[in-house]
Amino acid sequence: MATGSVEKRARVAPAAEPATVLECRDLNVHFDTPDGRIAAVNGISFDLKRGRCLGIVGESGSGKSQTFLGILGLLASNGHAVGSVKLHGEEILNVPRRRLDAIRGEKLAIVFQDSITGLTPHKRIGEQLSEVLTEHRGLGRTAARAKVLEMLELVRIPEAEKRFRMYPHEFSGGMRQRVMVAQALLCQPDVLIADEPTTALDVTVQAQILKLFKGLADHTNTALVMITHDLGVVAGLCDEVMVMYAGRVVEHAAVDELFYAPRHPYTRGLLACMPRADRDSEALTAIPGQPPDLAALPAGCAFAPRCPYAFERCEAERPTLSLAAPGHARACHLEALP
Amino acid sequence: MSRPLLQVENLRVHFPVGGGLFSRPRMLKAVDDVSFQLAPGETLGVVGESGCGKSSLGRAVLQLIPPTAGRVLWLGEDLCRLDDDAMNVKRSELQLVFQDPLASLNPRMTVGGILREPLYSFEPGIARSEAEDRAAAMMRRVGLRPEMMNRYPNEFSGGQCQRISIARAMISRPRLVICDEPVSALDVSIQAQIIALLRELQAEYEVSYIFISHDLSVVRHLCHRIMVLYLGKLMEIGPKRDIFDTPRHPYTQSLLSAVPIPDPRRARQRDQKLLEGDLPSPLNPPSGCVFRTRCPHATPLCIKSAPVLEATGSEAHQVACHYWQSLTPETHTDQPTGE
Repeated sequence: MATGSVEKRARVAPAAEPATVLECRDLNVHFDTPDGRIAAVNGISFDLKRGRCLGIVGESGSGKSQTFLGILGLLASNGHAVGSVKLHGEEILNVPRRRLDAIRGEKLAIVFQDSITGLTPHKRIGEQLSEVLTEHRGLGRTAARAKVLEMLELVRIPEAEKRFRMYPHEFSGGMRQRVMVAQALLCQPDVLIADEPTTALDVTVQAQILKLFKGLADHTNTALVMITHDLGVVAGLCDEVMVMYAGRVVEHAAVDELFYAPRHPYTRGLLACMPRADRDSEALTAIPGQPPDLAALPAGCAFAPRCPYAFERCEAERPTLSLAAPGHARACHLEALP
Repeated sequence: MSRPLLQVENLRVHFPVGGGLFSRPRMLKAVDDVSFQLAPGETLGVVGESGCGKSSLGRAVLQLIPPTAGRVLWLGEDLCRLDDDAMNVKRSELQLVFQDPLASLNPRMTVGGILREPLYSFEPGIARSEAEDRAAAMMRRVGLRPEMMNRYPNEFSGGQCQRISIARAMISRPRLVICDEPVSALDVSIQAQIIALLRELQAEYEVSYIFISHDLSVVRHLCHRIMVLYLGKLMEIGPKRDIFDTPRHPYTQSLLSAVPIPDPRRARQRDQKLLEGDLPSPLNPPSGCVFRTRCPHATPLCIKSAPVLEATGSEAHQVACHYWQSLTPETHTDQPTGE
């Protein structure tokens, strides 16, 4: 199945741009708190194409998760999403619950970091996975069971027949995460959103799960969104990457462009401060200071207080996301990085 | 190598699990027959997956959990034989930094109080003004403003809390600090700051670190030697260069192969050797070599007998595998491409 498909995808670049599945325009997410309104996500726009993988990279509080919780209508009760999100041309942002229920799970699926809370503890794995199919697809029990078993095998759960009757706590962390992926894939969603799916896992298990994701796009045409803080995860998996900081996209480019020719000081800083397992690095260049407090953002560029290249304009005026090269956008007042 | 600061010999930490009136408890061997040495000013990385015993090892060295067997020689003196009072005196020299920065600080003490407490316990009779001065100096040293002395831990960010933890560990001028995943809970940009701080403090105070981590990238950056554990057993130990350039144990090789590399071209070219399956239950470890159930090279010999640690070419680089000589070590150091 998934094995060996990675190289194929790297070699055979698709001649024509695949169709857009999800179109997000000017998405904003804010939260009303006793201390006032917090703008968690500001003016995010992107297109997600069939069979492609988009990486969303950012630190805690950058808005990377809230963007997609907003799209899926899963925000906390004091959260609001404004803007436009179209799935195959149909507006799905803030549509009635009933419509959303039909879309979620069937066309848009999400895999969370925490696989133990993502599964119902008192239901057998087989039962809760079959439910997805009986609810969304109206399948009978036998047909659902066959499909679930097939999916469990696809995500390489050994002895799927036996596991079908087990409860979530009887699975290891890596195995549970694979069950979550299987569950998300049951209805062959058009978009799979993975929110830090490997952060809680050991490195050997993380590699297994990432390999599984790599194979997905090829075999199912599912578009994948990988939300992560780890640039290493993005490098091996994604076609394009958006880097977020303080609720805004600061850079958006094809994966090679972003890694080899970053155009935002924050992206460059992130790359320079990561130790690497494949080479010796004498000194890491740490990004000074703290990630910003969303409740007290500076007037200009949110990264300016930590940016080595900041000048007066950066403190006064917030840079907008604009193209620096074809397919490469960044939000920075500098024409080019020094 | 200069005289070792710490010599750990055949350390075992076993926990009884379960058991009732009619059944004997089963033994969970968290650390099983581990030996190593640590030189002054050296950083030893301890890596392995969750449940490999790396945290138990750190705690057993500090006698925070009593070792089941073995010796922990601190400058030649066996810590396992000390009574609590004598051990507490030693604690000024052996300190610990935890993973969760906020949870490891007393929420009801001010930062100043947290930093002064070790001074009061290790140097009874110290004047309050001197304790305050030293706490302020330590705060400055770890990059915090001494004016924040009267604040509580919850008023600080994760990175700042970790700076406080490090200051607390360093204030008694220890010779060994065991760092248990000290940067795992931090954001990437903050991680690098804390790593830099640990390196500076080491250069300044000549402190040794046992750096427990699951992150091989951080370990490569910070450690002089590396020890790889699997299900409580020592699989491989050696200088950083040997571990990354000529890893001998199949487990070390697969660990290195699994680390994500933030370099798209290399990530695509890479031929990853992935392990199948999950860690076996530590309550019921495989016979023979504990790694054999996931090892691509396992043979009937590995089921029957457990390999012992033997020296490879260099005495310092040791590996516990029956077949290490026939396996090709694969370098995990990127060959410079002349960028």
